[in-house]
Amino acid sequence: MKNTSVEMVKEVILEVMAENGLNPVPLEGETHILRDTGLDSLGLAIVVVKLEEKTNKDPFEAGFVTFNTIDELAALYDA
Amino acid sequence: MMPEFIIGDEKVSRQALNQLLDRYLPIFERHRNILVHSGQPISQNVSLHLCEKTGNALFLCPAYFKPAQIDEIIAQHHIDLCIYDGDIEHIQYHELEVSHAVQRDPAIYVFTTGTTGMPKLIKHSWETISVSSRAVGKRLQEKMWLMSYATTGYAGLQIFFSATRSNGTIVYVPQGSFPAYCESISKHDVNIISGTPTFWRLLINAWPQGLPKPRLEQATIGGEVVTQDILDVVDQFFQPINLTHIYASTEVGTVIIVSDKKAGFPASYIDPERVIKFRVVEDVLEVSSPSRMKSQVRMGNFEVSDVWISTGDLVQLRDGRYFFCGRRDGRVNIGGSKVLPEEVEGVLLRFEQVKECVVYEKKSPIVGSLLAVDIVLTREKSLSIEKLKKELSVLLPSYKIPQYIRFVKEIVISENGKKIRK
Repeated sequence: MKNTSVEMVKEVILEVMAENGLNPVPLEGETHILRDTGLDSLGLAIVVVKLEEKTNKDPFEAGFVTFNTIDELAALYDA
Repeated sequence: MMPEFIIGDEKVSRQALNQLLDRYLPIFERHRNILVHSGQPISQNVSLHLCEKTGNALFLCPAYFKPAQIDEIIAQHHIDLCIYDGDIEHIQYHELEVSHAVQRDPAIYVFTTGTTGMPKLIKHSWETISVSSRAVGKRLQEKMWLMSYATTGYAGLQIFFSATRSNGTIVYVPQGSFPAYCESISKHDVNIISGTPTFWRLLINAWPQGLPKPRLEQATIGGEVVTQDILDVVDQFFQPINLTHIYASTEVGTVIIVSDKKAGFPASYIDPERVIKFRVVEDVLEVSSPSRMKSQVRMGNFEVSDVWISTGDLVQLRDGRYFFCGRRDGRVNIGGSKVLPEEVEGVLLRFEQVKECVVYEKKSPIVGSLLAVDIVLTREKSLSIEKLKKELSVLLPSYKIPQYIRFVKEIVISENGKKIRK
């Protein structure tokens, strides 16, 4: 279950990078999204919207939750 | 003799309708405040005809209202007769006790959902609600009219009164799908169609190749911002004898009619000598018109409106004409800048790959608000999000470029043919 969430997050990040004309980079669970992918906070916001749509879950419903890495973001959708 | 109306394939003659009216008249006569809750044309038609005749008050509830909402209206407005679904044989109704403390008050009450908040209840006299039917000329007597809106709303009522007072026939399309509209329009050779820009665009997109087009005498566009693009598209596709665009709302009535096939309206319309008066306050159009509503009833509290009614629609003066730009409360705040969804849609619709689109605000826990768009692509064309963003960057400042872009199969429209932006 956990692995599929990580794969889903990676897939969505690559998708948003492509939409914004960024070259793909290898992604790992520990990849720091803002620092390592070239996405800015707007790109990250789009990643989150797409994840919400895919999972029908909104982990930020009650307020912002801090996350930095792909694993940390993926974990929010496993809860 | 032309039928009174056609529902799908079923024709209802004037004679059959009159028999039904005669049968139910005594029931309407012993009541005062009538509520109709039905999506069926026969129940709606009978209620409209008989309430006007008896001088009753009619509360036209949208078919989607829930029983709890209906109960609330019954209690709040001393309803003593409820009309439900029916057919040409029989109409279901429910009689309640008549409160003799209540005076008979001839009026028609229409619910509007507006763009935000609670539904509002707008009161019109039978005169003001049917005012546009007086503008139907001799040439348009005994014609076929398409019911392209919910009959319970202001726009649908304009078609109802215009068609019935000119001895026309109303064509109802119960399925409400665009292929079904195309088929009915062609089959019954509809002469008069009124619709929102979105309605027209979806209709033309759905028109099957080879299906005979109707001989359109009158095409009317309104209810959303009317651009030059949509005027040209409708004109070229249907070649109507008359093409007009109108500005109307439940609150102010039909107040602007433009027939020069150009978007916007001449600045000369703003003239204190005219019966219908306009002014622009902070870019918003305000109207004072004799065909305006009598009052506005918010659920629970009654308020009588001012002479001037703010429409909430933004206008801009350019080269001697005023152009509508969108709804004031529909603007999306992107990083401190206000974006009008209608403006962005206008730019996107010029792409040959874009068949239809709707721009809206998407809340984000990270950046507050995102400008989002759902796009329906034309079947044979493809477009990537990256390419679209790149092309938009030369047409729009960056804050007006949708950040969240989705390609979808279809967009959702309201029962009045307007885009739903959420």
